[in-house]
Amino acid sequence: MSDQDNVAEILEKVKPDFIFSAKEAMESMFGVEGSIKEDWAIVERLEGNYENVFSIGNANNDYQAILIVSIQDNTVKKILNEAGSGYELLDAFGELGNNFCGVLMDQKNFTDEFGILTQSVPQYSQGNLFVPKATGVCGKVYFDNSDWMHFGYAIRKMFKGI
Amino acid sequence: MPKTVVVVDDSSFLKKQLVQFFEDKLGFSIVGDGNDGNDAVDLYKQHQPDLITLDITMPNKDGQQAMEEILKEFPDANILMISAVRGEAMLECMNSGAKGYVEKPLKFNNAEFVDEFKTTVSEIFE
Repeated sequence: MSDQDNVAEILEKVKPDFIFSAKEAMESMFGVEGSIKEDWAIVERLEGNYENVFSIGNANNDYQAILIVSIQDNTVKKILNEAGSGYELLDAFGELGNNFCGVLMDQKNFTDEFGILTQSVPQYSQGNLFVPKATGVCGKVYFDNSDWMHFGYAIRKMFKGI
Repeated sequence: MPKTVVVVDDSSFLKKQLVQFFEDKLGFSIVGDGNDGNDAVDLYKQHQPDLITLDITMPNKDGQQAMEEILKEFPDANILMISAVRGEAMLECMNSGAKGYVEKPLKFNNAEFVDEFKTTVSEIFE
């Protein structure tokens, strides 16, 4: 079994921690009620095409990870009551990602497996999302029935060098 | 006279919420707000407020570095860390002289969270 197979198994086990963290971060940040309509998936890599993509790196001595939060323009308009520029979006949704990481590090099942990872400052991009060679867990949190935010968290063992 | 506070966070979205909370719920006077650790050090020197709040993860200079610089010059500074960072960094801040630590997310619509936040601030001035 490869390291990443092992990570996939662990991610399946701690999947509820990710779902809870995403819902909690979204609800506390924007004052909306979130719901889960589809089960979250364990994937070989995070990929997709979204209008707004926010990423935050996570790391400790054993693991490196990335959180990706993806949101479509119409959802941004609804939740911020305006379209917003790149900076304004990064400000609000970067903080959402920051909060997600904080809540996730409070989840004992997750930290028992991976330890506490420290987060970087958030980054903003648009369009294609592709994170190779890192198994991930991903899914959507809905609000107002049809609007959603997509969360993905990919993690792999830290490369220790030769 | 109301107590004075400087609020420092790289998120304007959150900074607005914090400023409003300190003004409306705690009766503080906001004398400055900043976006990173460099702003924090400059604003503290300029205003020497009763309290400064610092995020940890910020660009240019993080909150932990800013805290150390402020305490070096002003050892009695009241510093409240407000961050989503958990674990060692949180402990290091408390051991290095921060007077309190509030964990993000900031749930200002949750009465229990608001009470805990108020208690943390009032304990700094006891």
